[in-house]
Amino acid sequence: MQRAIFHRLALAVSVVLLPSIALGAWQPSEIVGMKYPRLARLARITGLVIVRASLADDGTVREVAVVSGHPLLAKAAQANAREWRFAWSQKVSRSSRSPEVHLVYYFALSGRCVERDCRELFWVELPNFIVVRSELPEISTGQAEKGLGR
Amino acid sequence: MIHLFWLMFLGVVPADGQVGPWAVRKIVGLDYPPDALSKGLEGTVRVRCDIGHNARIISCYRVSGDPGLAVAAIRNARRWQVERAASGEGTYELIYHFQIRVVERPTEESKFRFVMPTHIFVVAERPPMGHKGR
Repeated sequence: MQRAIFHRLALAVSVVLLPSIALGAWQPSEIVGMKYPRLARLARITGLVIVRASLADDGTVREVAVVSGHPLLAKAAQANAREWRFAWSQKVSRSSRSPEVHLVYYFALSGRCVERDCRELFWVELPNFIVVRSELPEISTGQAEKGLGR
Repeated sequence: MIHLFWLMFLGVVPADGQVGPWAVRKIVGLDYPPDALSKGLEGTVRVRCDIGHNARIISCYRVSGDPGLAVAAIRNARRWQVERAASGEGTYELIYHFQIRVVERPTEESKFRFVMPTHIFVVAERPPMGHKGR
């Protein structure tokens, strides 16, 4: 049920944002993987992050601005987006070049694991939809007490 | 499916992700295989996948490289998705580069990088031999 809602939501976001990357005709040429941000995972924070990357002429990322999303997730997404590279599609005239692309990150937690031994999955549905999924760590008594400042 | 629709509608089927008559659509990350890392196995593995007429991956197999690393590479390649960029069945090839860096303070996570259209770099770090850890 939750997965179905996520897919609808994610597709809706992609449909809204995809033209901005497709019309610009920048395509990712180098994609870098990322891990679920540890703090966000411990705090069980999930959700969508949208970032806007400003590109240099050679397709390197100059700057990444957060459009929306939780700050803990957005920081990680921002750092990841900075490592990507883009190439201009040869089929589109250079005069219509836009200097920006949007990337949509979805962070999800599912299943259970022991912290430091959580399985993660990273995948990209081109051109701009990124999923980072991790198992959810069990909170031990020690961690809970630390969190409460005891 | 909607991605494909937009790309076709806008006439922007990417040339950059294209491998022969196929365009990569879904890229799945890969961690350095723990066994290979503990044995210090590294190197390049070429994997070829056969694609059926409906763009489904029928099978992937090792073309060259270490058989141990190839197991992880093949398992990963089977999870990728491609789409038809031109007519016909065919194959696409992915080249995995497994690299181990020796550093004083290794991070526990390996790094995944995909360079269009076929190169995948999986980099892990380990401490120098005889290093007693942090």
